Amino acid sequence: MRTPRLFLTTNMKVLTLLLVLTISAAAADNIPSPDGAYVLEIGKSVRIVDHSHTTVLTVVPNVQGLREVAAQWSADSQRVVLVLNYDRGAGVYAAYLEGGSWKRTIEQDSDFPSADLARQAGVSGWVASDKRMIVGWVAADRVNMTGEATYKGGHHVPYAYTLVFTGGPTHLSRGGYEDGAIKGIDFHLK
Amino acid sequence: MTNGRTWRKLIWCGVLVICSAIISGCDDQSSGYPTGGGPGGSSPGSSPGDGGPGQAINQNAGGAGYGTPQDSSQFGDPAFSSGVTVAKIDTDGDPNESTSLDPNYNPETTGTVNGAPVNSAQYAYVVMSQQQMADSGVSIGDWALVTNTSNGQQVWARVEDTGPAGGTGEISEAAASAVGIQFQTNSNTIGNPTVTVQAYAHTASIPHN
Repeated sequence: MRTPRLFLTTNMKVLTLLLVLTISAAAADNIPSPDGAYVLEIGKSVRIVDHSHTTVLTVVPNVQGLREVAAQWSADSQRVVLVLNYDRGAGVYAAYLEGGSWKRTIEQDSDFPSADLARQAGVSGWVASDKRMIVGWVAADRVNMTGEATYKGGHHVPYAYTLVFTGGPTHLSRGGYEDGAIKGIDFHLK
Repeated sequence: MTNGRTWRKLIWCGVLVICSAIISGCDDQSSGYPTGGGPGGSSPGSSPGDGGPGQAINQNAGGAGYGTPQDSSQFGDPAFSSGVTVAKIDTDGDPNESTSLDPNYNPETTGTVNGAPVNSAQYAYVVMSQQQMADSGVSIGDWALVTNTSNGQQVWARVEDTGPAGGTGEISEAAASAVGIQFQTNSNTIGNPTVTVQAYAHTASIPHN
């Protein structure tokens, strides 16, 4: 015969499993930093919040039309890279802690060598759509990335590159991004 | 046993509350800017051009669109200027298009009108990359001015689609028709027309005439 205590124990296991599954599903939109001090919250905007749920930085104010999002924190929790993929374009954003405050940046379009990649792949025309993915951090200041560009006419060109935190001077854009803080380098066909 | 049932009720209530809170926090990605209206397109240029083998010139664009902003004097300087660039036609959102006609066609657009994709043939819109929007402060729904540099014709449009890195001069079928640019059903332009696109940040809420 089951005692009340045993009954509770059995059901608590089921409930705990349910809660873990539910929280795991929700965690896709909330990515904690490795040290647990911050959480990247992805909803109608993308924000970094601290342990008291205070927003310390809005990385992307509006994600209307977003199809996919991926993000990875650096091991030291000082940097986070995120990719926002839309139907035909992508944005590679990053946030980084500098001088005690969080700053945001975005990879510049000019880093993307669309003509070089087209030449290497033997295709022509302009890029009609592009998708990016994060492979992973390979050093404290660099992340391996991949992408797939689709050129006018429908030719798909997969490629890889490295995203580097430059540590160099930056320029604050009108939109509030520190241009030049990250740079895409070593683009090559995959 | 009574205690067991009470605990069970309490625990299930807690689970329901947590699940409800998580579900209510989900993002539906809906658009909030006002829908457009009024004439956005005009007749395409009169030159028939060379349609190319198997490709008809698209004569269907230029329907009712966003019209003109009620008060563009509030706009100030453009936050983004493309410079003179080759015009490219974005057929996205046009229900009469397909990937068999235009391999790069996508039925969806980043912006929406009344919850539906923005019809390229009906609405004058422009395409910007994520970086162009982020760095300029321009958002989906903001107003933009498209100018055909060869004939000076202009049309007001809205930013309604997200394009790839570095893309400039990408405009909807309605916008192209409005400034006299002809194109085929595969979205290739007739010749190499050039345009400038100027976008104005924080203007999405300004209604049309």
